[in-house]
This record gives sequence, C-alpha cells and structure tokens, in this order.
Amino acid sequence: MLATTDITALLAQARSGDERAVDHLLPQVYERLRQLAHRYLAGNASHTLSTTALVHEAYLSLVNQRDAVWQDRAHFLGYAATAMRHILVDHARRKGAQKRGGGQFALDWQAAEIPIECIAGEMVALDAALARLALLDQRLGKVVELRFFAGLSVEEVAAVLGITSRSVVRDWNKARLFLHHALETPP
Amino acid sequence: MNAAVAARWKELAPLLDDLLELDAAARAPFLAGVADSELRGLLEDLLARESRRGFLDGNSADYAETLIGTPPPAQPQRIGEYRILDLIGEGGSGSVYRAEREVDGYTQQVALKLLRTGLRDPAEQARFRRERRILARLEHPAIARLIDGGFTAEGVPWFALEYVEGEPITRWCDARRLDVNARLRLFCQVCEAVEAAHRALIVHRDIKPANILVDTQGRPRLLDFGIAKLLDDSEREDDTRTGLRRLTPAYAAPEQFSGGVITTATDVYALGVLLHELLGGQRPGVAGVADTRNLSQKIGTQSAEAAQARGLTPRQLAQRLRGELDLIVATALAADPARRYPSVAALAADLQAHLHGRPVSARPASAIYKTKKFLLRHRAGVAAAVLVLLTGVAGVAATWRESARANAAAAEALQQAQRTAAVKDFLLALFAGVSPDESKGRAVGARELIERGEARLAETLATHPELKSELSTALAGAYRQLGALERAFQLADQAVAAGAGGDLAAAARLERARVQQAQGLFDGAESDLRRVLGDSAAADSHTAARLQLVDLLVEKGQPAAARQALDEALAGAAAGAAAGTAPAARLRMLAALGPVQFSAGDVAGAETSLREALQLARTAHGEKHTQTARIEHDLAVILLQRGATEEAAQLLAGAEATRQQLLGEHHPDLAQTRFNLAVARQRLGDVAAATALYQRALENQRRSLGPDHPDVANSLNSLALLAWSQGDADTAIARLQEALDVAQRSQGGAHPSVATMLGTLSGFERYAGRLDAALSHARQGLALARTGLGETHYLVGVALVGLASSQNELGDGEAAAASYREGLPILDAALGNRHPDTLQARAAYADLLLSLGDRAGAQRESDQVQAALGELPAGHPRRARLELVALRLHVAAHECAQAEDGLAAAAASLAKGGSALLPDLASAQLLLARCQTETGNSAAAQTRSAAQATLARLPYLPRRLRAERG
Repeated sequence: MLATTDITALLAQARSGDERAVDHLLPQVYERLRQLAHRYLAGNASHTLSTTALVHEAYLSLVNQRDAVWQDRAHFLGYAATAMRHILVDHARRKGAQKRGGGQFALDWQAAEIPIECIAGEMVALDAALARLALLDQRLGKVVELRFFAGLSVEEVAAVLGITSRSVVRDWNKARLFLHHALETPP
Repeated sequence: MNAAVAARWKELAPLLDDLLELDAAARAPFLAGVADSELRGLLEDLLARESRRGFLDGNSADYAETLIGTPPPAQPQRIGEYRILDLIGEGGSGSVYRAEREVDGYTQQVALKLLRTGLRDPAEQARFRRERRILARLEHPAIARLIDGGFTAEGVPWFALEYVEGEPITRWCDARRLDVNARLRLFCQVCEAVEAAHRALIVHRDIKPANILVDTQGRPRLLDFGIAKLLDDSEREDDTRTGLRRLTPAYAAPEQFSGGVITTATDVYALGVLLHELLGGQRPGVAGVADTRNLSQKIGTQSAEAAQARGLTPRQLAQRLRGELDLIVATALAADPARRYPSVAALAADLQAHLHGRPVSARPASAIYKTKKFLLRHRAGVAAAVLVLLTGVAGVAATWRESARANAAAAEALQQAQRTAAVKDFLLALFAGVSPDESKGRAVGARELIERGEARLAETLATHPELKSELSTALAGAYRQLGALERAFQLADQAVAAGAGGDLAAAARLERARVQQAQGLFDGAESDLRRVLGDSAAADSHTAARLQLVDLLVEKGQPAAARQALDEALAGAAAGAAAGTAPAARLRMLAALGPVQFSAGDVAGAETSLREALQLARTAHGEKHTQTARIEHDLAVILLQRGATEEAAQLLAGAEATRQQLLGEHHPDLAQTRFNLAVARQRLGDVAAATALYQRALENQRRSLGPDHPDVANSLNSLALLAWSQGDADTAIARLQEALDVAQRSQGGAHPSVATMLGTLSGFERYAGRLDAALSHARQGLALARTGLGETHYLVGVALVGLASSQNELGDGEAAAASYREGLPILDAALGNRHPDTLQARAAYADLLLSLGDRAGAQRESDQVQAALGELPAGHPRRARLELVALRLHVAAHECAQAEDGLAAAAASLAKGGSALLPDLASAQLLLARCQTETGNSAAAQTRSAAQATLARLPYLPRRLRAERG
C-alpha cells in the first residue's frame, strides 16, 4: 500500500500523461475501495453500503489533501469508478455469473430479492457490453462507469469529464439504450 | 442485431440524440424521414427500450452489497476418494480443487474438477464415462493425464487430472524475459503435444494460457485435453447454447461461434492466438471482429512492457515480427478453417523453418491484390470521398485525385502509396473490408473510412511516430470537412503538438486554423496563420496560409486587411510559379479570391473569378465533388445578390445534391447550401419550400455548429425574414432579436452581419410602427457597416436607405432625402443601377421627393427605375411595386385615365406578393379607388372597401398611406 503522498504524486504524473502512473494508480484505488467495502459490510450490518460514499471516502483517505490540486479529485473519481467496476465484476465472476436471463427475461430490477446469480450474471454481462460500448465511444463508457459504478450525480460526472451536464444526460440516455439492447439481445 | 447496432453506432448516436429530445408524437415523422430501413429499424429497436427498467437502472450500491457481502458457496469436504484441500480455480463450468488421495501408501495430488450441473439421465452418464475412458488413454509427457472421474451423489460429474505445479505459459515466458526465438521453441513443444492428441483423434477445444502450464523443469504441460467436449456433451440436453457459453472468447475460433464443425483446425486457430500473445504480448482480439492489422502493426509504444519482456524495444519487436512471423500468425488465424494450416504439424514446421532461416510455406493473403481490385471497382465514388483524408499526405494526395478518374491511375496511386511502408499499411487497413463482399453489400461511406483511419492512426504511429503530424493533420482535415469540428480540432491540435518542423508544422497549424475558423474561433485561427507566415522554414506553405488568412479576414469582416493579404498571396504565388500557374493552383486562388472580392463589394469581379473557378473545378473534379459544390455555392450567392435568382437556384440545387451525397445529412456546408437555396426559392415565390429548407438548415446548424454559431444566427435571420414576408411582424422581430443575440455572441458586436441584421430589424420595427426603435437600430447598423466594411460597401448603401425610411416615417423628410442621396450612388456603384434592391431604393426616393413636392425630381428618379424594369418579369410583385411609383406620379398629375389600368394590374400583382407588400397593395388600391372615382368608374366603392380591408391588416399605417387614405 502506498502512502497518500505517493498517490498524489501518481495522480500528478497521470495528469501529465504518464500511462504507467495510471497502471500503478488503478490497483491502489482498487485495493483501497475493496478494503473500505469489506469494512463497511463487516462492521455494521445496519449500514447500507453506498458506492458513492466509498468512492469519496477512498479519495479522502488516499489523496493528500494538502498537495492535491483541484483536478486531482476529478481524476481520482475517474479511476475510482473504473476500480469500482472491476471490484463488482470480479465479485460477480466469483459468485457464479453464468446464469443469465438472456433475451427472454424481463426482471424488475427495482424489486428486492433478486437471486445473487442473477445479479452476478447481469453484472458480468453489463461489463462486457460496456466494454463494447467503450470501443465505439469511449466517453459514453466513461459516463456509465461514473454514473452507475461510482454512483456520481450528473453534475459530478460533468465535472469529472469536463463536459456539460446536458451532454452527460444525453450520453447516459444513449448509452442506456445501447446497453439495454445489448443485454436483452443474444449476441 | 447486436452487431448491427455496434457497426452502425456512429450513425445511430447523433440520430438518437435528436430522437430522445423529441416527444413520442414527433418521433414517428422523424423516423419516417430516415431513408435507410436498416438504420430506421435499429433506431426503433433501441428506442423501444427507453421505458424499460433493467439491471442498469437499479442501484449499483444494492448490487455491490449483495455481491461483496455474500460469501462464496461452501467447499465440499470429500469427492469420491479424494480429500479436498483448497480451491484453486473457478470458472464458468465449475470449480477446480486441489485434492489428494492415498494410493499404495503414498499421497497422490490431483486437480479435481467439479462441474456445476448434474447429469441425471443414465444414458448421459454412460456417455460421459465413455468419453472419459477415451481421454484417459491419452498419454504424452506434455499432456496432464486424466486420472479418474465420476459422479457425486447429486449426479454432478467430476474428474481428477494430474496435478501440475507450474505457471501459465505466457506469464512464465514474461517472467523469464524469454526472447522471441526461445518462445518459438517452447511453443513448438506445445504444438507437438497437440499434434500427438490430434493423432489420437482428440481435439483440445479450449487451448489457452491457463491450460498450458510450464512446470518447474521448464516443460510445457497441457491441461484439460478434450474436457471441453466432455462438458459440451454433458450439457447439451438442457441448453443448446452451452457450447457457446463454454468458450473462452478470446481464443475461440470463428466456427466455434457460428456453431460450425469443430475439428483439429479449431485447435490450430487457438494456437495461433496463443502464438500471437506469446510473441506480441496481446491477443489478436475476438474472432469475427474485423481487425486486419498484422501482429507487428499492433506493437506500439503501449507495448513497451511486452517488448521489454522479450529483451527488445517496441520498435525492435515490431521489426522482429514483421514479415514471416506476421504471415505465420495470420495463416493460423485465418477465419476460414480451410485457409489455416492444414495441421498443427504444418504450423510447427513453418516455425521451425523460420527458426532455421528456411523459406516458410505461408503466403500473404494478397492484401495488395485485393486493394487493387477494390480501387478498380470503386474508382470514382470511394476514391473521391476519401480524397479529403489524404490531402495531408504529400505526394499521395495528388495521385489519388487522379485515381478517381482512370483505372491506370488507380494502380499507379497504389504504387505511389507504397512510398513508405507505413502509409501503405495505413491505406490497406483503411480499405480492408470495403469491398461489397466483405462489407456484406453495405455501402461504406467516407465517414466510416475516416473513423477507421483514425482507429488505425494510433497503431501506425506507434511504429512510425514521424508520420504523426502528417496523418493527424490529414484526419483533422477529413473530420473538418465532415463537419465534426471538435474531433477535428483535437486531431489538429495533436498534429501541432507532434512537434514536427518546417512544412509539416505549417500544414498542421494551417489545418488547426481552418478548424478554428469553422468553429468561429477567429483569433485562434489568425494567430496560427500568422505563425505559419512568420516561419521562414515553411515558405512553401505561405501561399496557402495567406489564402486562408484572406478567407478568415473576410469572415471576420475585415475586408481591407483581407485585400492586403490577398495581394500578398497573389504576389507570393506569382513569385512561386514564374512559369505560369498550374490549373490546380489557379483554381484554389480564384476560389479564394471570389468571396474576397464579393465581400469587398466587387460583385462583378467576384462573379468573373468564380465562373472561371467553376469551369476549372468541373474540368478537374467533375460535377460531384465537394470543391465544385463549394464554388457553385459561392457563385450562386453572388448571383442571388445581383438578382439572377433562377441561375442561382439551379447552381444551389446542384450543390445541395452533391453535398448531401458526399458530406451527409448533418454537415454544416449542406445547411449553408440549403439556406441559400431557401433564399432563392423564397425569391422565386415558393414560400413553403423555403420555410422547410430554412428549418432543416437551422436544425442542422444548431446540432453541428452549436447554438452560438454565426450560421445559426443567419438561419434565424432568414426565418425572421420569412415570418415577415408572411405578415407576422411580431415573430419576425422576435426571431431577429434572437439572431442578433447569437450573432453578437458569436461574431462580436462589430461584425457586418450584425449591421445587416440591425438594418433588417429596423425595417421590421418601422413596419410595426415602433419608429423610435427603428431609427435607433438603423443608425447603429449604419455605423457598424461603415466601420466594418468601409464607406463604399453596398451594405452601407442599404443601411443608408433604411435610415432614410425611418427618418421619413418620423417626419424628417429632408434628412431622409439626404440619406437617400448618400446611399443611392453607393448602390449604383456596388450593385448596379438595375439591381432590384437599387431600383427599390430609387423608387422609395422618388416617392419621398414626390411627398416633398419635388415632382420633377421624383419623375427623373422614377423614369430611371422604369427604364430598368426589364430584368423583372411582368406581373412580378416586386415589379409592380416599382411600377407603382410611376403610377403614383400620374395620379398626382391628375392623369388618372393613364394610370387606372396600370393601378388595377399593380394591385392584382401586389396581392400575390404576400403580407410584406401589404402597404404597397393598400396604396395601389387607394390610388385606384381615387382614380375610379375621378373617372366615374362604378367599381370605385368596391375598390375602396378592398383598400380598407387591406389597411385593416396592417399593424401600423405609414405616413404615405395615411395621406393617400385622405
């Protein structure tokens, strides 16, 4: 585990375009998020896990606030969203993700009591569909990551990506259609 | 369906943006307007999911809690006679445990696989056992043996494999930094094992690094031989798609996706993937997803780590792989099993040949041959569309242009394109899959080719960073011409940042300037151009930069500076081409010169230049070419200005068709052409067509250019004019205020077009009786026109005439007359005294003189107007309006007998002219009624009541009408 100053330095390097810094950064963020998530769930059963809170807490605990510049936060949230995605998808894979509804299912995802295999399967399928979407339009992929996996608000996503809120909404709506389609249509 | 959405996503995305903003009712007509039925079907399919609540709409935190919070399933204690030690892996099909049992006094360790699904049917179980026995006979030192197998109490199959302690082959090689040759030798051992299994008629089906471990002695050991088939068979009953699910997609051969026959060729493919990864550090991508790059082309700067693990730099690695190894990997990976190596042995033999410097058997997939054929088939269409992409690649561009015209030239273009290997690869990659066979009959448009070009850019650059500036510039230009300005700017910026020197840097800056100009970022554009002009190392680019600067200054509304730049450009070009200007250079020059002359008020000069340019463009490029369309468009604008509406409409219709075809529906240039065509149609009296064209132009512009672009202002302006012509003064004023706001935001308050809009606004306000506002806006407009355009510009004349009308309406006739006397000579000089606008101004002046009591002066001006009427067809409302002046003079001289028929005809013509001519119609009717009264015509009463009805429709009665009403 790196010290917070190292993370701050890595962020600065990443900002200046050093791809290796990004490679080092992601595992750190991943590990920190994972720890925080487990602590949450282990510590207090009545606590509801919030991805948004996790991501922000990870930032506070990892990045040296004194040396951080304002862009760091935006950058960090970007990485954290990716890390959060990896965490959820990795867990999903481990939880036996092969049971997917495929085209025939129309589950109401708002309802409680969805079998874990279903969630895991959808998570893995979403991950794959999102990868395909990002190939077509990287920004759409990023918007979904930030909105869905990091739970950021439209305004926060706009700030992270340096685009308008309107663009975020448009991107999200478009990406939603693509992903729904991808998830409901057999390849 | 999925694949279709992905393939056409770039087309779908902007349409979805539009559709999502429409309500349900408005979507149907929009969709109906999508001509491409596949595209429309996809849009409908996607939109159908808008209201669907799915996984994505749930709360990720809830999922996270479930996924992270739930512990994994409990581990069994025993299976068969095996004690489970620990879980070593988990996959889609089941779990793998390290397990042990006691055999003859010693402990045997195994890898025990427990499947996820049970087999209950005894026949199925029997088949599973049979298969297992076949596999158990497979003995080879490099293959992990199948030791045992059975069913749990629940009927779940399991089997025990020899436990191999080792590392996956890829990781093992990387950890030891094996060089390419060592990797090849190791891979050949793997091939031997697979070949041995094939001889025993067992296909592995799931070759991947995780299934090939290298043990502590450095020997490769293959796991799970034939297990995939065992699994497939065991699950066939409950899910026909399990075969698909079982795949490891990255290593699966195309026939495994498509449900084709699994043969030894399937393993050849997977070995190809493995070889690709062992050599290049990355997998080739999922089968079926078109990626025509060779292995070596994928090695870029991002492959630094991979190259290092092979003891090389990325460049050296790419070089090492280029050629034979590229070919061998490509042959193993052929999509069609019949084109792969016929056996694993053949693949291994080629690798051995390569290792020993003997010729290999693999042959290139004749990519060049295919490209040649493609060029021959598509010489005109695609080559012309793609031309824009290549203009930045010096030398190639010129030959490509010719390739659009002749087969022979196409072949030559290809040879020229081989100037550097990188450019060649770039082109080949670009055109791969464009032939109808490969694209499944779908037309591949310029946009897709360019996007594909961009996708290839990074790869090409990885090996040839020196081309970064050139290729990025070319792509930026292509995107700019497609109207994707943001993307174009990014690329142009990258090109500049690439830090090349001399003409490359100049070309990059020139392109960035063009993009910025198109974006309306004039200052940034100018600074780039001045940079180029200040760089003596880029002298060859100076002419181009000056011409661009001229264009920019014109658009910025600085005609004097533009003229100076043009003179410099002409001088520079003359010096550069002492032996006479080549047609292409002359064409560029004239095409740039025309708009400058026009903007500087030299309408005739502009027309001459552009007519010659058009002729040159048609000869050089033919009719269907963006440059031809552009000149047609520019010439039409001039013709519109000088009143040659029919010819203008004709040219614009041609330009519209060309731009729509070559640039697509969403290109800003198309919007511009539609806009001007709307102007022409409006003038020709087709209001419905004009309104539709303006609306389409406005929608397009707001989307492609953003809400604060000069062109948006322009379209709003035109919609205002149209509303006005329909008699809706309030809408017109509101639209125009909107246009002014946009124009002032996008062009600054001092731009000439702001002056024009102020003048127009003033006219509307006058019409609506808001006289103080009208006067003030007229003055503002005039002042702006004078400072922005110079004293003699025709727009100054127009502004003066507008000011005169307002002054007159406010009762200051003398000041009005002075304004006319100042404005008319400017119009005469700039537009000619036969121009409809000049005639209209002169007629208004005559009216004013008449109202001031100067009947002789009024007669003189009126005579001049009447002598020039021939340009307008009889019965045309604008003509009637001009004739009305002469008739008014007759009435004033009490010559009603001579005027009566003319007035009746004028009234009839003006009645056709729309609401904007209502004041003139009312005037004609009032005069006619008066004359009819004088001559005792019984129709007088009826005419008078018609006049009253017309007057009632006016929001405000101008002075003259108040006088004529009596």
